[in-house]
Amino acid sequence: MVLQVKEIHKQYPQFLLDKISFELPEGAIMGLIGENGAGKSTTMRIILGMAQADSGSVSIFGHEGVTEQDRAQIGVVFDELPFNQTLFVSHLGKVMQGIYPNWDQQAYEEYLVRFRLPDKKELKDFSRGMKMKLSLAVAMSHHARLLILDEPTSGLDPVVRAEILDLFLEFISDGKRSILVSSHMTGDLERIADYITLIHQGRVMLSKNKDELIYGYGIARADRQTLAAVDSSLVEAIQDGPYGSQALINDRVRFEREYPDILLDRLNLDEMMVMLCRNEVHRQ
Amino acid sequence: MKGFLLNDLFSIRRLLKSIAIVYLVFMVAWSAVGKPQMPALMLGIMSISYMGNLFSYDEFYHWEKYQRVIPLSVRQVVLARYLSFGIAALVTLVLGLMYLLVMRVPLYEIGVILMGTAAMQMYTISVTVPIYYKLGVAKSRLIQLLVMLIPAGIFMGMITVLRKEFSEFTVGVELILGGVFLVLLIGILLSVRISIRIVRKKEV
Repeated sequence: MVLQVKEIHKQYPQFLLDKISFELPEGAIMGLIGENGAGKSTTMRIILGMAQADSGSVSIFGHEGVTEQDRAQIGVVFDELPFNQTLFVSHLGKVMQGIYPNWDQQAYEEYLVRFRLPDKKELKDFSRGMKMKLSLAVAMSHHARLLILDEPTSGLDPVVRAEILDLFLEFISDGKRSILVSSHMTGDLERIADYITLIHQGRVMLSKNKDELIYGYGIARADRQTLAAVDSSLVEAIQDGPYGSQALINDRVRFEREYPDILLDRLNLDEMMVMLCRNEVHRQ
Repeated sequence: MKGFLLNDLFSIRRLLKSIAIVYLVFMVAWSAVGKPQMPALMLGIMSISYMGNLFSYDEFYHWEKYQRVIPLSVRQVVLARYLSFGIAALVTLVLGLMYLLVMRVPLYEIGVILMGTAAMQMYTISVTVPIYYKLGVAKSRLIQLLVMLIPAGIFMGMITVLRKEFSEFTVGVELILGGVFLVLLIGILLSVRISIRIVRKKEV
């Protein structure tokens, strides 16, 4: 495993991160999804050592904790550009060369050409898409084995997003490198992620293989009475709507076999997230 | 560390130009009124304001967040910042020395002025850097101002006394100055330790 998060617990005055656990294997992309304030960024900050957990552990590259040597092999992208924006991209290259022991200036310059990032503009004059591409260029120019990305595609147009998603797939293509990415763009994650972890109000609601979720889960539509009669081990959440009720089913094959008369549709990650989060709200 | 120092240098490259212009104006003005020691002291004060600017950039551009994910220890990050201030202080002292030599100020007076300036820089850095790390830029600016008033008064007084009472570096004067700088050096070392502890505990 490249990354193992075990029962991370962190208490803030008005927020609790409660026993967060998940695992990211080599050569895979894990998407962290959840509402704003669910705890995705806090989880990432704890993984990176920017905040300390009250209990629990984080193992990276097979050992507990994050050492300086580990950090040399981790590329990080925040939702905002973390560099002085009066700099030029060539300045940034020189700065990073002095920071990362395995900095690859040639790779950096190739990314600058590929992303069409000019050296004649200060970083503050870059568009949001250009800033994000620059963050990625820096994160990928020191031979990182793990990328940790916080909302890398938010606020970007579909063309730039597609370009960035292709880059992620290219990054993991050797089967040795992995990506942990948080995003609200569940459509993007459906396209690239191998695993999905849903965090809601500081707790992991599910952490599974994406295909298992997309092809194994379904949404049953019927009246409330019919859905209430379904075996509870199949039902993750039930919601009432103006035209009937719907239930989130965790085993499509079994459901279709046992309840052939109830309409069962496929659903996307967005719908799944909404159903699970709303159901949780109703339970409280 | 080299990367950090470069980042600091690139960050203030624009500011350096405006500081140079302001400084030239003051240099001419003070020289005209017959107080050539003032520009040297002003250079020292400018190097201290450089400190606030760097912390301000770190905060504004989220560089302080990025510092925590790179392959450098907190100790190295903090030491790089002190080193950056040390270099700035040294550069201003060298420039001050050159200026005073050009202005044909007596050597004893040059020594007194530069030592007063260096002492002020060391005191201010050792006291205010941990405050910047602890409280952030906005809150620390006011505190820095208050902290600076004290040493500015003390060291201006020191310069005045040394210039009035003595005309050369006697053994007694050297012992006093040696003691003052030893205390200031210990202050810097303590300040580095405190800053490292603050940054280690700080969540970003």
